[in-house]
This record gives sequence, C-alpha cells and structure tokens, in this order.
Amino acid sequence: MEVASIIMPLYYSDRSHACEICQVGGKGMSMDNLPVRDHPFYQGLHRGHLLYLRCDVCDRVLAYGACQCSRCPESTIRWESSAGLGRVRGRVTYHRSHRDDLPAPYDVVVVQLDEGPRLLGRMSANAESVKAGARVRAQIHNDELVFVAE
Amino acid sequence: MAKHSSAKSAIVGLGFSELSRRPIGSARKLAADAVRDAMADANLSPCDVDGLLINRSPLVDPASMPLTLQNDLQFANLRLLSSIEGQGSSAVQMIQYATGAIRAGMARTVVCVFADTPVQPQGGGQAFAAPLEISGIPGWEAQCGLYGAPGAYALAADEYLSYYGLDRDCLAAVAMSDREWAVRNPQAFLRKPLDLAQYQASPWVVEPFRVLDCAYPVNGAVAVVVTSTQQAPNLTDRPAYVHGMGQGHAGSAAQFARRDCMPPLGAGLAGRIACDMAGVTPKDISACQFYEAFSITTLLVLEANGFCEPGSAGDFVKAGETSPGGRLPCNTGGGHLSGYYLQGMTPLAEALIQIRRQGEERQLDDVALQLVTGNGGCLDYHAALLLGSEPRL
Repeated sequence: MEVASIIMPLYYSDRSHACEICQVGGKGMSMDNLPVRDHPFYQGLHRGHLLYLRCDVCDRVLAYGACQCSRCPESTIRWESSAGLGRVRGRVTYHRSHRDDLPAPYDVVVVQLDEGPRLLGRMSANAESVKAGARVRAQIHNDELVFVAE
Repeated sequence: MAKHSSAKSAIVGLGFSELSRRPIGSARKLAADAVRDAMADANLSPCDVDGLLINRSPLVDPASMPLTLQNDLQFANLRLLSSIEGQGSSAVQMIQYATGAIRAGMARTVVCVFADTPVQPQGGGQAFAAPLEISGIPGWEAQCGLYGAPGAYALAADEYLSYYGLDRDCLAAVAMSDREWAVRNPQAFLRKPLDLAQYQASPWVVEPFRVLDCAYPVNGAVAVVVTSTQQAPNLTDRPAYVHGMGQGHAGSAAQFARRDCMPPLGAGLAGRIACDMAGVTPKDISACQFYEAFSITTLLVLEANGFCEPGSAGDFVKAGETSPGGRLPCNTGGGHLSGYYLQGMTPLAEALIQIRRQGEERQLDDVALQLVTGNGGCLDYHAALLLGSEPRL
C-alpha cells in the first residue's frame, strides 16, 4: 500500500505550505522544533549531566516543562542532576529515516527516571532486547543522550 | 436512565463538501460548500443564520480558514463569530460553545464548519514531519527522532500494551472493527473486508503502529447547524438533541507519571461531566463515535469512559462488542481508520446520520443516546457530547 501518501499528508504538507506553518503554526505543531541550546537541559547535557526539575520550596520532583510547582504558589524551580537510571515505560521503532544523521531503524523510548520524571529519549542502537519494563542508564556523549541497557 | 433531562440544544443541519483523495479546491472553498449543503439540509437561507464557528486543522495556516468566510457565505449581522482551536477536540467544542451561546441568548442559529485539505500531490514527501511536543523540553522530540503524531501515540500504545501484557492484536481488532462498519458505509474510503493477516501485512509506520492503525486523510469539509430545542422541530423531522457536554484537559500524558498506568486521560473527565449534565451513566449510552486518529485511542477511551475495566478494552473489541451486532457499536461509519479523517467532524457526522436513520446497511436500532468524542494533542485535549434522538431522556 502507498504508505507515504496515505499517512504522510497528515504530517507532511507540501513544502511551500510547511514554511508558513513554521512561522504561524501553534507551538505544539511547529516545524521549527530545534533544540534551544541555552535551555538548562541542553546546557546540562553539554556538561555531561542529565538534569531534572524540583520545586525549591517543597522539594517535589516536577515534570519537564513545568515552570512552577503545582502546590507552592510562591515557588521557584531548580534543576538537579539525575543519577541517570530509570525504567523504560514505552518504546517505539521507526522503520524509516526522517533525517540523514538518524538512519532507520531506530528506537525512541519514554523512560521514568528513578527520581520520578518521565523523559523522552533515544535507545542505543544495540539494545534491541530492551522493552518496556527494562532498566536503563543514560549515557551522555558529545552533548547527545542515549539510553543503554542497565 | 434518568427521565428528567431536557436537551440543551439541537443539531438540525448536516452538510458535506465533496470528499476526495484528490485536490478539489481550498479548505475555504470546501468549507463554503459544506455550509451551503448544511443550510439547504435545514431549509435555511444565509439571512437565517446568526452565528458562525470555524475550525481548521491545527497543522495549517490560520489564514486558510479566515473569519472572512462569513463574507463568502453572505452572512450579515452575525451575533457570534469565532475560530475555535482545541486541536482534535475542536469540532465537539464548537457544538458546546454554540449551545452555550444559544442558551444564553447570544445567537439562535449557529453554523459550525471544519475543512481541511491534507492530501496534496506533493504530499508524502520525506522533508517535513512536525514533531508533536510531548517532552516538555523545547526541540527534544526532534533530537530524539520522535517525528509526527504517530510516534507520540505509538509510545502511548506500547506503554499501554506492555503494562497490561497485551498483544498487538488488540490494535488490529480496532482496525478490523472499524473496517466492518466501513464495508457497510458508501461514504467510507476503505471498504474492502479486512482480516488479521491483511492487517499484519500492512507496513509499519512507527512500530507498534502499522499504516492501518492510522487515520485515512481526505480533502473535504463538514458543516452542521445548531439551534434551540424549541426551534429545531420547525427545521427538521429528526433533530439530534444535545443532552450532555463536557471537556477534560488533564495535562500531558507523556510528562506525568501515571496512576494505575492509565494515562491521566481528560477523556474520562469530559465523559463524566457530559453524563452528569444529561443525568445518565455510561450504561445508558447505546453507541459511541470516537475521535480515533490512531487505533490505540479507541481502547483508551473505552476504558477512560468506564465501558471497560482498565486493560480489558482489547478483549472487548476482539469479542466483537464494538462491531456490527455488538453490545456497544463504535465508530459505525468506519471511523477515522477506514471511513475518512476529517478530524472531529467524522464522529459527529456519523452520530447525526444515525439519529436521522440514514445509516442504511449500518443503521443502528437504538440511537437514543450516543457518545461523540474529540481528542487533541497526544491524548491531551478532550471533549465529549451526548446526542439523542429525543428532546427528553
């Protein structure tokens, strides 16, 4: 079956249109979804740390994306270094490549870090047996994060 | 079932543009076609309409569906005009806001329209895949290679199946149930009978999703007309009465740790609010029309609404309970997977066709109360509607 034309029109508009989407689309759908290098998470990776968020007042672990604690109205948030250990909650395999430096097949996982938050990540290429429920460890190399089997 | 709930509004007109896999004009032009068809269906002239709500795909330029659609349609002196943006929950939201406006006396006859033209000759290109933002870290989805909505939903699907130890045939069952209905619907696009082997031969998109787990996009538009319960019988023999409405936006399922492994689906909240408003329970619902752009959604929403115990929706669907002849017919036009993908208008239009008893081969006997859902983001934004054939329950 014609995979591309059945599925892709949903997510891949023609080029001229897509540029407009970039500029005016809602942020959740933005094509301009490039890493923000001055974001603390990326700065952490650059220094070799996997960071996550806590409330400065109650110490509660917060989800990535939070800008305040749900219970402490006056709180500030702080980034902390994770031990990098966690458990895979879900794993998907892309069977086609979407960009040159990421050849298919490759796997994307949601990992629940031992500290609590859920983090999206890439699974290392030689970890085929790792499924949901498996223990994994974060490995940071050249600003890149991959999870490997623990 | 409670016998004292009165309808809040009624849907009296349903209109379609041409639906096609070929380019058939702009979304704006198709929207106008559908609105004209809906007005003709309800015997209305432009001067009878005093409200217009517009819904476009969240993936397109807002200028493709502008408020000046009002002028294309020669609507003058509107009392209500807005573009509604709740991603996949927008179509249901339009009915909700139209109902609120009508009951508050702001407007009397409100047209709601959705149009989209995702299928283009250049479509299918490899160049763009908008990552659905689910991580909470700017740009992180693309860094990880999580491109497109299928990836985000596939992660939710794998987590669900893994947690409950279910096999992927649960997803196949949804695709096959939809197809059984589509076989009976002349308006559906994928109508050849589908068995498990054929499903399993369908190519991967993002494992565990195959092509047949994903919505089938078409170009087209759908419009409906909402009015008061008093006015409705003057416009049509078979109004669809709005008995319950609810929304639920629980926060990103991907970011928060799950309780009992169910994603914190706002779907359950939306459904409960709608049932409370109508004075009913899920047991009183005779059929469901879900927004299910991916097969997994049907399973999660069946459970979130209390039709099935957590982890058991796959067995429910495999047993044929959502298929023709089942206890809870779902997506009776073929849904998004086999019918056509016009976002929230697909389930809404099918519910209306059933209430009007225009379902031909797929016509349900019991159309007393149907649940219609909307779902946007990655299981983030939910809206629910309870539609009935009678003004009182």
